[in-house]
Amino acid sequence: MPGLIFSIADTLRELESAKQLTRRFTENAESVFPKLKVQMESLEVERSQSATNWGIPLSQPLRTKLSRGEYEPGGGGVKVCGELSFTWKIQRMAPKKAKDRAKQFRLVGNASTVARVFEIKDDDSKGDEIAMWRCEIGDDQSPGCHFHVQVMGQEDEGPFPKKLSIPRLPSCLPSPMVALEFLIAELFQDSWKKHMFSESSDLQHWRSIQRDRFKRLYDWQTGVLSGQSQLSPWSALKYAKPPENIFVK
Amino acid sequence: MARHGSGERRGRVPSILIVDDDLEQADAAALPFSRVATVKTRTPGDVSESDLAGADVVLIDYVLDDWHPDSESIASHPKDGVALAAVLRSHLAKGATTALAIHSGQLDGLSCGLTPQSHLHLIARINNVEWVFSKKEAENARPRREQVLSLARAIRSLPTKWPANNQSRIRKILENLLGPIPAAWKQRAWQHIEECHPPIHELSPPTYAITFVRWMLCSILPFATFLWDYRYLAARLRVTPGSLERALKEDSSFSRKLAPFAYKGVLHDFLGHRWWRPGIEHFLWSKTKANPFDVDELKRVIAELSRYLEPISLSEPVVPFDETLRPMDDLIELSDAVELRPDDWPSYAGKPWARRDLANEHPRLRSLIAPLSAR
Repeated sequence: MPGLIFSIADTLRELESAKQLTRRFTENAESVFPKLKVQMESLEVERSQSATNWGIPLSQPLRTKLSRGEYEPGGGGVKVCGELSFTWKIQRMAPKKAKDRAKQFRLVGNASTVARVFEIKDDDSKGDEIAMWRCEIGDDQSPGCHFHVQVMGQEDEGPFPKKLSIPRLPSCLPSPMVALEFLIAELFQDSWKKHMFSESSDLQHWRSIQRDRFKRLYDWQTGVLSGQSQLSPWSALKYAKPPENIFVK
Repeated sequence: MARHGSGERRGRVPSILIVDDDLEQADAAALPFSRVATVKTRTPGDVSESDLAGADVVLIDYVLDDWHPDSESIASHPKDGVALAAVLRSHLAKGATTALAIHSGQLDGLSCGLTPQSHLHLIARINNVEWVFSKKEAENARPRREQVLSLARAIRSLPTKWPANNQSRIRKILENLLGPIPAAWKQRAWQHIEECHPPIHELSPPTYAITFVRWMLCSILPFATFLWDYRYLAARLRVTPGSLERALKEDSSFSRKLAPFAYKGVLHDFLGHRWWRPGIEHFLWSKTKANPFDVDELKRVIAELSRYLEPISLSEPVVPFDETLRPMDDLIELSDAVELRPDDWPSYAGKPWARRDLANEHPRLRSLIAPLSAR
């Protein structure tokens, strides 16, 4: 199965609304999002067909503001902050006429989003990493689920070491920006909830794009479960591969 | 009045009208233009409609205390240059392409407390003129003579018609005014231009080509938009602005490499050199093998570009502004900066940043800190 296809226009809109929606919860949105946008715009207009790594490098992650224990509803946890980075290996899908803008891109390799949580010391400096998960999109060969989350797995020692590539927990986070929403909503339980209930045009855009994506994702999974598979429901979901155009109209 | 709106081809020599309550001062102000422009000098009471119609730029003195009109009616006695500019504008033919500008050695009266050096575009907008020139050269971004000529040449190059209801024709006109854009990054350039709301849609009154010049002067050139000055270019290349300036000056090979991305359209010499941001992005996309933000790739590229370029060690460099809202040459780390929200800052322009300590030190700057940045 070739990699999943995404709309460039939707992705640009998703970036813009994510930037506005998450600004008050992040430290360096003004540096990170313009780069992501320029990369996407380049893909749209530059004719090169070579694959490129789109993302936020691990060395310059998107940083959240300090959460003063707000990962617990009502507060009460320790001080932490989050970081998000991602790499998607993508390729421009050439338009019918060479001079036109590309409308879509395709995932052609690694699609990994890394969320990290760090403890904050008393002097508000960054302490140890205390949590890490990776939202991954599989490929043809991946053992499933196609959309999954892995915990840690980047160190040789300790729990969830590099040599142990399981568990691959099923996930419903189909893009790095949704993974960002997940991270922020976890770190800032009450204020994110309040934020989501305040109407804004950015939220409208965000809702519209994500509702469509989630609906497509769940419709596909519902279809898998409604089929005539001999497999158990869980195994059917584990081994199912989505159609390449699941997220495009 | 025949020159404007008639579709006649204009001559190449710019035409400047200088209006001053002291004719001797007007004549003195005219001297620097004597060999390069047609210049007329007038006292306010002597300006005729044909003087106005024949001028590309009307330079009006701000202080008119020595002008004593015959009539005692206050309606026929504009109190200062700004009021006179409004009167003169009302006598311009509809669609006339004449820029009205104030020149004065005393900008305090019309600056609303803003520092002239960094706010001339805003002072011009507030006072409904195309530009405000200071007679103190240090307050102008470039020598006043060069700026006036640049403005006059821009006005002279405007078309006699501005078909705002015909998008393909208006785009062609903009292409002519903004100068050559190579096909390789033309699409990207138009995307960036459109994001800056050029006056080519419903808000542009038909035939008012002058709105384009205002847009360039007050909404594009003073900011980081689809055009970048050397500081923003340096931040993008991750080099020090000083080393970029030096490389441009002393390394002809480097200058030639960047030449295709230099802005050469109207007003290119008004506030200093500018580069096409979409052109630079196109350049970096190809030079970095489609990894235009990869720090190591960028280091490799700038090492190849010029030995004068000095890489910066900042992780997320931004251009900071000083307490008078002038951009500074020393880039700083985003985490050391606060975002400012000055009045009238275009939403599409690069955000203004200030060092956190500097902003806290200066009450006026502190009052401009964006709410989210203050937390």
